[in-house]
Amino acid sequence: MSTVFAKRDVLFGLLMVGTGAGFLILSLGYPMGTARNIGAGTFPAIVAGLLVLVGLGVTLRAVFEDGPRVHASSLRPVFLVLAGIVAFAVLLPLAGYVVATTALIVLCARAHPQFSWPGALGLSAVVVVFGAAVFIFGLGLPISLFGPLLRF
Amino acid sequence: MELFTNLALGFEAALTPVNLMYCFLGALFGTLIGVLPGLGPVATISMLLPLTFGLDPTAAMIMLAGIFYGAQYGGSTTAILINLPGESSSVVTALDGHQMAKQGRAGTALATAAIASFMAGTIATVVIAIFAPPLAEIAVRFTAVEYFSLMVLGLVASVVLANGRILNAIGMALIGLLLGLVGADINSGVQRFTFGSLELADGIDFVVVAMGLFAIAEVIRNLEFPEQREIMVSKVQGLMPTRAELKQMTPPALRGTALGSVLGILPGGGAILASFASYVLEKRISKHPEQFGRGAIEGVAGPEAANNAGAQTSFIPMLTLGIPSNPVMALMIGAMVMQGIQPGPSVMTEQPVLFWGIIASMWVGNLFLVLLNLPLIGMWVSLLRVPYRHIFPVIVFFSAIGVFSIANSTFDVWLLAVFGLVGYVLLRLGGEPAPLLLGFILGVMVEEYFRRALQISRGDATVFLTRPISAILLGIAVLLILSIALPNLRKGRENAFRE
Repeated sequence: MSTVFAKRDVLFGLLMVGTGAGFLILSLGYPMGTARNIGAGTFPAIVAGLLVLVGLGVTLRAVFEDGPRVHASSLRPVFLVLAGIVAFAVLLPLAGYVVATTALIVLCARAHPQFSWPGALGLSAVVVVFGAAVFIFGLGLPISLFGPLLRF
Repeated sequence: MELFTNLALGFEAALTPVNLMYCFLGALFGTLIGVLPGLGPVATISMLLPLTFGLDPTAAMIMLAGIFYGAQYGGSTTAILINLPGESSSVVTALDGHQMAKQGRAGTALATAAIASFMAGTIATVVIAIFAPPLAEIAVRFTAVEYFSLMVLGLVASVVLANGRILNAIGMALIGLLLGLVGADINSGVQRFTFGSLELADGIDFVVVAMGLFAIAEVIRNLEFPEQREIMVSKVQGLMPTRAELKQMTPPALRGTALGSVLGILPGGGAILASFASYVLEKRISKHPEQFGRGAIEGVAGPEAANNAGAQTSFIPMLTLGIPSNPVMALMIGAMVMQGIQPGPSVMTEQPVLFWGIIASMWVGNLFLVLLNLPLIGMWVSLLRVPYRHIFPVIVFFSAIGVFSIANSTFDVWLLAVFGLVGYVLLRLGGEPAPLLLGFILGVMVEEYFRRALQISRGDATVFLTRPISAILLGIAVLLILSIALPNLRKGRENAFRE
């Protein structure tokens, strides 16, 4: 069993079936209208149905043939890069631009094997200054340098 | 001589000092970001898109055209100097361009790319000016039925041209269509797939999807598979090609332009196909085919010209029909919609200054690139010396603050993380992001034309086959799919991608 699920196209096919089925179930909950005047659910239901069929096709074909496999890899880069983006989203309204940007740069930089604190902090300083010049003073984005959390 | 009055109108718009400045800035920033390794035009354009939000529509589109050419050329520079093509169409440039760089002829290779692109750009500008008006005239007569079939053809073409297995690519396009439908149904106002979220009611912004799939997912993958990079940037000398080299590059550049102009008009990513086709052609007719892959100047000039001509003529279906033939054009449509312009045949008649201004500024953008890149090449080279560990956090930062600036909402930043993850998972499973993005952009349009077509025909779905133009378009789509299903042709396609 485990070898079947290591096949790349089996996983991809199942992902399509799952996605398609999810969208199909939701679509069926929307008005279907008539053929002359289709409802909100008609078109998505058709597309989602097609996706399920294509997904089944991909899965079945992959089960019976020798295809590429998924290789394990470190989850560290995915986790750290996404954590950096989420940290930026969370910190921006609370602690402001400077802290949010520094957090994003440092978290992302840790994803690289040659991470060093001085390097990451130096890069943050450059990006904070340059980004503020372009986005806050140049384009006038409504962001405060320091957010409510840091105001006493 | 309507052609000249039209072009004159365009140049009048493009050559105002303010618009010239935006075009210049666009080309400069486009190259600056595009030259960063691992960033193709789609990621570059979506990162720079926020810069155009505050401008008036004409200036915004002119700046975008500059960014577009800058991004294209930046990709070629990276391909030549460090053999790391940011997108599939500069893969071909890397073959001989990087070999030239290794032999100490980096300057010549870069100049060849710039000059060949400029030649192609000049000719393609005229091609657009000639072919866009008649096409728009035909397009005015299109009803929802023809538009639906045309979009299906566009999606099928993008699927056929995707690298990889066709069923997988179809799946990606379908997922894209579904994601494009998220939000309030424009006809009935029913909230679809929003799970009650108010932020999702307006739908997902295409910039978020493009950046997640093309910038964030790519960064993560680069971190997982650290590549050995040979950096050919010791010193770039001998920038200006000799007269003999100019003579040598001209015929391939012209042939590449012809190929690219034709293939670019086809829906579905003509530029990529064009550069491969041009390389194969040049190798076949060359008197010394053994030099290809070892630094043949023709192997740089032909594909670069084809790539640029194709990229430029792909504006034709975008501007006249409102149909994107590749992800970059999809971004352009998104940008136009943001500016309140609905791309389609009426743009040319209702906003002639905008329409011809964009076309003229394409040529101006090309010119800037030559003027900008030949003297500034030293600056791009020093940019390439910056190690990747300093570059990728900056890419992530620009993406995050870029999506934030669309609506000043951190919700879009969260969505960026979501689409970064989705894109990464799909990349690991061998899915091509291009059909997904195209499907995403077309989603609402396809549904709307489908709905209107059924209204016209009073609910009779055979209307798509009984109307001649629609039937022909769908017939071409079926032929395209069959051509891939047939083993012989499939082999040819695989070879083309491998070469």
